[in-house]
Amino acid sequence: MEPLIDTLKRQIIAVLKLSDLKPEDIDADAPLIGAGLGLDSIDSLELIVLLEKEYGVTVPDANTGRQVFASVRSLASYIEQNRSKG
Amino acid sequence: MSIRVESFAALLPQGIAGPLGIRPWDEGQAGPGDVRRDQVLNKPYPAFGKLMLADRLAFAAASVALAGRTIANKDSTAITLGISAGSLSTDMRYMESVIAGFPSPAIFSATLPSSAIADIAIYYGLKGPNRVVAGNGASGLTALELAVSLLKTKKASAVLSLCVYAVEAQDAASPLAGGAAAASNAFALLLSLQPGNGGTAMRLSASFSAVGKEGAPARDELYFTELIRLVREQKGGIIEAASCDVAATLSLAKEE
Repeated sequence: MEPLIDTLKRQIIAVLKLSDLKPEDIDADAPLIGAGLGLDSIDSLELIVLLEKEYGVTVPDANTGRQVFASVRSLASYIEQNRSKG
Repeated sequence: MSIRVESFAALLPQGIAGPLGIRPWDEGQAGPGDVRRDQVLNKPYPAFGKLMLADRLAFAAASVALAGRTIANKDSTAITLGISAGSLSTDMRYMESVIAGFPSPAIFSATLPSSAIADIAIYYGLKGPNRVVAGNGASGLTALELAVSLLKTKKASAVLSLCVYAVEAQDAASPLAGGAAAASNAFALLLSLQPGNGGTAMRLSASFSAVGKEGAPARDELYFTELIRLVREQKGGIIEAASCDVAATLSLAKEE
């Protein structure tokens, strides 16, 4: 899963245009929204678009979203679990 | 009655002008549209990269004007913004994302002419009233008059007045642009009221005649360039950091 985590870090920086950040600045286990990386609700919507566009994975509801966006690692785990279902 | 210009900024093709002088663009930078966070703000702000052109220009100009300043009363510091083409280029980028099949939530949230005001108000904690004017060539001047009005009527203790031109090159050619020219520059003036003279219905007139061609309305871009030149010259050229607190004064002529 580590290669996917690294890829996701780069994609998050590119999609959200986080020009001050480098992949190594992102803690794979830190919260994505609010504390940690400090993303907001609009950012989370942008990440949902990223999941659909790049991985064909959807987030069906808010509860799932909270678990998926808990960290980069949980995001990668969700992609790995659901990508194979498609 | 006078309006004190407490600070100012301009993002122009020549560089970034502020109270500390003019800093040319780095090699490879095409101009204001390429402005980087580290050129206007001395601490990380991850969201800077997300700002669309109009919002980025406004935020950058505001940051240069507010750099190193302590705003006494943020609750009554207002923002006025004149933005000639509104959120045109942002709207176009959003429509492109719609056509591509993945509408961008981040771009959508900026498809308002007032979007830049929100970014600035939130970052700097400015809670006073705000006004936005999107209406072609004189939006900036109108925003400046609104700023004066807010000060005169005591609805604000200070006003950050912004003028932004933000039309990306590919959008100027579009019929939707309505003839708006490609442009990227921004001006900011931090204003406060200076007691004296009194009177009602004041109108900014400083230097306007100097830049307007006879019989033709001057673009407020020229007005702001001239205004900032005058502010700087009153300090004997480039305003040094030490003299920044001694703000220049613009005279206001009484309106009939």
